[in-house]
Amino acid sequence: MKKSLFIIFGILTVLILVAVWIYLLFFAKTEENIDMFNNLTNGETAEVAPLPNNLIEETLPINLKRPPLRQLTTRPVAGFNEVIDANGVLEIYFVEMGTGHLYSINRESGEERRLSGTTIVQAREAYISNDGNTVAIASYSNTKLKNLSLLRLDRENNSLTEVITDTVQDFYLKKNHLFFTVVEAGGLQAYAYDLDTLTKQTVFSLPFSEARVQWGDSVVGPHYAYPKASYALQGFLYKIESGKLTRLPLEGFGFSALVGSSTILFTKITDQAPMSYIYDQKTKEIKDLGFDFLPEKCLPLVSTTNYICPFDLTSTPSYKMPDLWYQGNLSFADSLLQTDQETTGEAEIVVDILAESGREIDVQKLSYDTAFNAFFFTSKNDNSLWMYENNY
Amino acid sequence: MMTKYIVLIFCLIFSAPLSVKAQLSEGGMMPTASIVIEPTYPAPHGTFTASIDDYSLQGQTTSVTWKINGSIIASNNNLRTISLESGEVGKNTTVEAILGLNGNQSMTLSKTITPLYLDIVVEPQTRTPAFYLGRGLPSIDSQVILRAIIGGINISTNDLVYTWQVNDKVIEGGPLRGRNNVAITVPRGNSFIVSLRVTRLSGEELIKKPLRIPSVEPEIYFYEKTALYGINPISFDSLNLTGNSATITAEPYYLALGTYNQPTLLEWTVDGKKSSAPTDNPYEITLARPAGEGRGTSQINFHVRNLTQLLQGAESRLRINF
Repeated sequence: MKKSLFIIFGILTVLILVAVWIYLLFFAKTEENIDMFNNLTNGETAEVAPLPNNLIEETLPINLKRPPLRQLTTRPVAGFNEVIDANGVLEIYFVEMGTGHLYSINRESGEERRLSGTTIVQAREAYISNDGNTVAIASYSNTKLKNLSLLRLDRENNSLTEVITDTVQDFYLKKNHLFFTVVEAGGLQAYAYDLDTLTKQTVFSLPFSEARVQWGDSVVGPHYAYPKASYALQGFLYKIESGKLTRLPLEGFGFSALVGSSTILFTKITDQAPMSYIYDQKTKEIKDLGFDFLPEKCLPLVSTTNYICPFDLTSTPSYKMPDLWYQGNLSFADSLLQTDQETTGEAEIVVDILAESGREIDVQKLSYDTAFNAFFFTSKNDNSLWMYENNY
Repeated sequence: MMTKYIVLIFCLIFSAPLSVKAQLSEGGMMPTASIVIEPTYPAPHGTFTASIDDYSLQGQTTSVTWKINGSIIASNNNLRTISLESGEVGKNTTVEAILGLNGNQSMTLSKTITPLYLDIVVEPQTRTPAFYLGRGLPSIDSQVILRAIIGGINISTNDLVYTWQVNDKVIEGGPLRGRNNVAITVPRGNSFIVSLRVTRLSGEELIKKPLRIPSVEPEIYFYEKTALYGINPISFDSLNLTGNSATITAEPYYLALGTYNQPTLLEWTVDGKKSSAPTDNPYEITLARPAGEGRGTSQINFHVRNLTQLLQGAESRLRINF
């Protein structure tokens, strides 16, 4: 083939390709979408969405109100408390998981402010005093022993100063005391630090070490304790007042309990499934609640015999409770339910958390603050902090 | 001479049962009756029954009058079995039965019931992770500590004698003074029976309780661990690797602590290939996304076992999508 003929053939090919490109660019219509990416059309393909015939333009009000149920921070939370500062401002203090940094959230504005930048490595569990000036933090540990630090907040320097360190089995900060337990001579020994004087006092001793303790308001008590729950082992409830151990008439397999002002909410395995009951300490009467609450998640309401309990209305009771929940093999999409022992004897929904927030929240660390008129809790799944204003 | 001794021994041997029989007929044939309580040791705030056992009486019982703490309960008249409330812990209830016999004779039987609590707290010495809020469960060949707590009586532990039994085998061969806690090794089987009998120093039985304790197989669950937060206590059997790497912790629940601390076999395999376990914590493995490869799936297998106690072990697998 001649060279000139080859060049002419090449130019013609290029011209044809340019002509095709120009046609496609300016004149071609897309008849069929054959790409691997499709436009989202919500079902049938429609080029123009049909409009309603009688379109009435509504002036929708702009909702400036905050939703009653809301997430307070995006940071994972190791512990929190509701604090009223010296100026009477309501704030939520929280310790960030992982760093141990202390923050406050203004209840009205939602503004988040860092109060301490002191890093507590792998901070895992924290309690904050009611005045916000003292913080107890335990770091992550691979064993049952927790490395506990008691710290004072230095507001001027935005830092926490360590005043006490200890290795403990469990701890809790309540009112003016830091309560904690250690295993000694096979049993459990409970001590308390006075937050003002930092003096250490013996609170009680238990003849077994695997115990869950519900702490009282003072060193004297009463405190309550039971062997840690398991579906296959028996548990018993004990009251400890001034160091003296008294057995209460509640027991069972998978036993866990929460003591209120005059009643006790407890759950045990009954007929191969967990079941919750209310025990009246005065009349000694036991009532079946018809639910299988986890008392560890519940909250007794002050001055009533009622309890607020997170509960997943869609869950099926398992005879292996509470072990499955402790293992993290079972998670809940909780609602908050209130038991009503004084009138109806039934439980009613306070808030459907999934419907309100669109999030499946496995509620833990539930608390209620009368100054805030609000419930606070964290989610077990991501340790996020939530608030529900119940008088909204 | 020898023959005399043989005859004497022969006579002694064969006369012995005759003398024993004579003693029995004197003492054993005495007409007796008693009140039988069921359950033998009523729990506080519970119910129990009291029944008349008068079968060995020679005559016939013609009437029964019941007295509870000295008061006659007329509605119980002539009943052979009555039902009663046990009341407060440590509070005595005296049950009396006045039996009317043939020939205008009568006999009074009495029994005092003191409801006590005997709690046996089971503390298995098996592995559960730090975040686990419950009690571990016993597994075969693991250790379990049993602690007895008696409620309702003010007496020193050292003034009591404890007889512990595991599946009818008495621990340490006999009663143990002041030993309200013992350590046992879990026997073979899905469960075992522990029974405890507590007596005073005088030998008087205070309370007795049997308890069935389950024995489970160790189980492994996987959790993700991060440098900042430690273990996230939500288990999974499939993980989507979103970053470049992930650290996985295998938690063998209910494994004996001895086996957990010094396992004779501990093995991670990735897609069937044995992976070297890290030296600082062999229960953790860090998985990295393969360089230059696209998407894929890996099967991770974890196996821990005591090769001298083969039932002390567990194996589980996990899928990683990357």
